[in-house]
Amino acid sequence: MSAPADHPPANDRPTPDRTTNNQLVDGYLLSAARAFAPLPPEHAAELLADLRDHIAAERAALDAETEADIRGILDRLGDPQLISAEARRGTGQVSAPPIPALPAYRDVHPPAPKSSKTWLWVAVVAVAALCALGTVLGVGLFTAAEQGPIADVPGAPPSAPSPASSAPTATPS
Amino acid sequence: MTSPELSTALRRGTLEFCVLALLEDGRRYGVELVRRLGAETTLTTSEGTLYPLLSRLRRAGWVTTTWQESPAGPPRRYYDLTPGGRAALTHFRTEWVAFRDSVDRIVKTEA
Repeated sequence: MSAPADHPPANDRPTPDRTTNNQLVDGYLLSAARAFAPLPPEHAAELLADLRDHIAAERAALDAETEADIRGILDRLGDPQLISAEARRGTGQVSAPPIPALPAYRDVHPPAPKSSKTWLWVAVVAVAALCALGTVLGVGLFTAAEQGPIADVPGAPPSAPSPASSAPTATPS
Repeated sequence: MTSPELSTALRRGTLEFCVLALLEDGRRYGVELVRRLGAETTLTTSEGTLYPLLSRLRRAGWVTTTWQESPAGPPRRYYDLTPGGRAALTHFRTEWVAFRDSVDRIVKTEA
């Protein structure tokens, strides 16, 4: 007759401890699922799978798990709300380091030398002067047209009635 | 900025690169990465917060993961560094050293 086994397989039978432990884990994963609700569904599913597998891996590494063991695993994982906050912080893009890696902008793009700005101002003034000149000439021609038949400039409004020179403006009705 | 806020800001910028560095010499289990970094109390608040970080690295294409069936337990997830991740790590090293040296000089914590 063989002696009864001294060490029954640790994780095969639903001992009271293991049932409680499973409930603790399920409770944790449930609160995690709730905390991940605001996330995109694929992200939430991925995270839940990661947490589930993390817990399973940690439990598998234990010889005979106690409630204290399980609480330790879950405490180290931490509050699901914090995990959710961390997931929401990331936008799928990896963060850039918060360090001034680039040289100062002015070192790479020195300000334009003053001389080129001077030329710009000269050009602006020249254009303005031409516009002014053009206006003066236009006004001068218009005024001349008003004074006599000699300057019958196309486009200028008809001068004072002068049958010999002005073109008929009335349209036949 | 108070102390907890300052170390949070520093942590966020550097933790991802710490993960990349841990993968430099070869693949590691996810749980192993999480345990190793979770032990560094200045770097992490809880182990769980590392999983969103790992997801981000995966989505950025800096790491890839493979599931490996394990006879003695549940399937385990391995993480590998990609060439893009390697390049990012190299770049970070240059930036970090320059940054660290400047700060040390200015706040007089030079060795």
